[in-house]
Amino acid sequence: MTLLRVSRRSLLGSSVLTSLGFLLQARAGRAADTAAAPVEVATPTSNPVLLCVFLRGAADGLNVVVPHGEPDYYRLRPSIAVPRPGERGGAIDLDGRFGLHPRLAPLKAAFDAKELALVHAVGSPHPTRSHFEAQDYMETAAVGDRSASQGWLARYLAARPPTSAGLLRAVAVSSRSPLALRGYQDAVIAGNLRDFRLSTTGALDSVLSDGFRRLYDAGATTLAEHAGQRALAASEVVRKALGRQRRGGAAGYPREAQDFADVARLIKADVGLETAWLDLGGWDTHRYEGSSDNGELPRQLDRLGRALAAFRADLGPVFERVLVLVMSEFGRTARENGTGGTDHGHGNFMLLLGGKVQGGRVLGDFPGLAPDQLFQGRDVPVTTDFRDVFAEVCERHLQLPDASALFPGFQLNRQRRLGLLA
Amino acid sequence: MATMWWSRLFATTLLAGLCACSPSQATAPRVAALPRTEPLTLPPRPATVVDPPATASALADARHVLNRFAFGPRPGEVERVAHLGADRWLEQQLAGPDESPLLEAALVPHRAAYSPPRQLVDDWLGEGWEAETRTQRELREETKPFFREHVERLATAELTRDILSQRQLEAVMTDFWANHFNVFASKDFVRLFEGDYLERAIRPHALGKFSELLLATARHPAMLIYLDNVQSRRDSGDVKRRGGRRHSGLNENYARELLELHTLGVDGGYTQDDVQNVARILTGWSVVRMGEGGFDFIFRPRAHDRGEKTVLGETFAAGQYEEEGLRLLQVLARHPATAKHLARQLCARFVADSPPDSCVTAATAAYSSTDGDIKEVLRAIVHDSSFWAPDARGSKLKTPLELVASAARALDARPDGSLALAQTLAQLGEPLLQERVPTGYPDSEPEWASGGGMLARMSFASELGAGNVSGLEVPWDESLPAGGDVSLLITRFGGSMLGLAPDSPTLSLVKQEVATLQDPSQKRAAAVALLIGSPEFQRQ
Repeated sequence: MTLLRVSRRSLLGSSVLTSLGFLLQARAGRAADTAAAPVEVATPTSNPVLLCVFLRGAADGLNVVVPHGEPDYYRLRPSIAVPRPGERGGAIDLDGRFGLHPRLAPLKAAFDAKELALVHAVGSPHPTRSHFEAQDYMETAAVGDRSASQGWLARYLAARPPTSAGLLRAVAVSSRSPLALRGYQDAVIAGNLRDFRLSTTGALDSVLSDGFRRLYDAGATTLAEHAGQRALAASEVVRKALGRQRRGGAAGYPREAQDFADVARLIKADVGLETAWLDLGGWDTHRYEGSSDNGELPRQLDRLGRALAAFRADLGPVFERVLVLVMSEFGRTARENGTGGTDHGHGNFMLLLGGKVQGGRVLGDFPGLAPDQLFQGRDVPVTTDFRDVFAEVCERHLQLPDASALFPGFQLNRQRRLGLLA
Repeated sequence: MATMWWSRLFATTLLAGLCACSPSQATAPRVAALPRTEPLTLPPRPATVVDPPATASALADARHVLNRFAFGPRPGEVERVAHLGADRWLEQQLAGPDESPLLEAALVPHRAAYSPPRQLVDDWLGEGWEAETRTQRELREETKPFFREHVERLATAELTRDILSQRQLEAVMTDFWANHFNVFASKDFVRLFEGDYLERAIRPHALGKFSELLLATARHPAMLIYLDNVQSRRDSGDVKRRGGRRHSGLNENYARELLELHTLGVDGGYTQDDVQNVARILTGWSVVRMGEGGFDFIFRPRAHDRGEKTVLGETFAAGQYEEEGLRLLQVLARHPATAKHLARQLCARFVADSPPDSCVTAATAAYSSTDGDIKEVLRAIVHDSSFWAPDARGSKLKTPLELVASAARALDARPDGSLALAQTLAQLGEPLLQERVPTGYPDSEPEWASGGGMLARMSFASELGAGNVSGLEVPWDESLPAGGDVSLLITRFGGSMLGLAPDSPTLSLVKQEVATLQDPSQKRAAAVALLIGSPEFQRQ
């Protein structure tokens, strides 16, 4: 792996030559104001990278992207509302109507640099309030089809020829296989990428690695066998790409979010990574959710905010070709429940962070929180179908010419697009 | 194929013999409504079953039931069960054999894992702790240092049972129901109650009536705390904020999961109104607080919503208090959607990830006609031809728990009393009692078949072969003496545990690899590693 000392500006110049051209659209001004001290990066290639972050358990969008301009918000959440901007522990104002939860302060710089966009009242049209059913629909993107067995990212990977011959087109840090990748059998999936290796005892090393390789090569007729076979082949690539650096390194990732650092290293190592997936649990805040502080949600958001900010800083110039898409299965009740938390709701937020994002905006049609504006009288409605966001990401960021085939039974409408990406 | 069919016919004949004295006729499940309290008296076995050495098909049947209804065979067990008859073994398991003294001894160091919560706190903080510890918060702080070890001890104790228990079916079903009624040990005080929950709510009912199991979980502090029912109160108009952090009102967390996961299933036909009304019915189902004596279930009439409710079209008259919840649980346990939901899950666990229709139909019918008798549902599954179908055998990927337990059993290994066993399982991706979400751990191949998971399995096998899995003692010299003919060892293990022919590609390959080594203990280590880490051993 060749390491070059380059500045962000020179990287932009060189990669344009080899890219699909999308970097030409990068705002020159932005490149200039973020041009940092020279950093070490791998020889750049052009392929865009998508990192999906799934907040499992239904993150409470109303306390993440806070509608502080809606008086109903404060009426519905007397004990857990995030105070108005300017008040103690108040939201970080974004546009006069919405604000970021104060624990997401590390992301304000990205918002101001127009690399962060938020979507509100986005989600699935299906009314289910079951975690697993809603997660399944968001991952298969086949809403309402309980028998769908293929994930939307798997469909994307099948639809697009690999950008390199690499073994690492898709990586997921998850203790089990996310449904979004189901059907793409070559994904590298591990609870911890540092453990993605065969650990054997010294003297038997070669016999066992050779033996297992042959055993798993033999038939590879089942999913498990195939996964074992591919993992044995890919583990060396992963090990080399992650290198010996201590987990986290210098980029200032929170202790609980080292997986972001590992993904960043894989991207920088330039091993053909196209899609990455991270699962974050702990968002099901039925009680003690908290407002700005002292609760489950502030604790969760603190980690998320610092992790995303560190990830952006860590990637430096490479961030230009990276997009982070943060999603959660549904939102939570507009009204707080009887135990200082919220129950399962409907419409929610999404967060897009990346070099090409047309950010600095809160997008989507958020009708308000008056009783007649709520879905079934209790939840934020869904005014943007999550598949429209995914489709825009696939076509605009990942450069797939037509994403229709990724969303069975769903009519793409490009007029409906939010214009999230340049 | 012809021999397979013969074997099935053969087994069916035997089953028919058993059924003659058993109320559980596969063909007439309604008869099975009779209570089954006495041990089954077996008919004289036809001489032909016993006399010839176990046929390949009898061995295959034995291996199949031991893989599914036990945590895999121990050395010699496939042969023993083949002689006994797979279905006869199952009946013994349903009747509940005496527990092994080996297990009793192995559990001695972990006895505290199952202590009731008060006992635990007494042990940790010393008697008289109540004089100084007044609030929940104080208790949480003071017990915190003990929690981690306690949960690991409990996980180790459960795994020890899975490995050593003679009551294998009970162990398998305890795992199944603990997962079905999952609670997350690390939430709040759940840790304090989890041992009691497993020992007194789940295990005694694991092969009993579903309605009783459901009630035992619904009233258990572990569940009431985990799914927040403990604080759910009748809504009294606007949400109040008293003293800054006190809240008062409805929380629908438990109500929803009770319908979606525990009973009806997500397709069970309930509405959002049903969820809310179930939550209202269950207001008041709570746990005694510190300062009130602590730790037990309590019904709090003042927290209870005294209005009339309707759930699934049934009216619950106003003001019936705790009776409403008891009736609700009966309604849910008897509901046809519950029968079908549980039948699907059990068929997925015991037959195939996509449960065959015939199995689901048979299990649903058995459930409905016996008022949810779990034993009869299991009989219906094993009597359904789909269970024995060639394509069902070896079709399921073992979960990490099943891999560790079956590997330990296959080597006759014994837990050494240390807590490292729980950590081993955590490294494989299934830390027992630590699944955060109420769905519990999944039970299907696509979710467990990740590359990282497979590498972890091979690494575990390598460590096990080298004798480096801490927490497990393998009696090498008894079960697999080094220095003997390692090829013979491979042939025997592969034949008995995996049903592989001596010249099968897998066994040939293992022999070839091992032949490149000189040192006898290294040969054995490599052989064990490759066999336990082989694709075949990952399946059941």
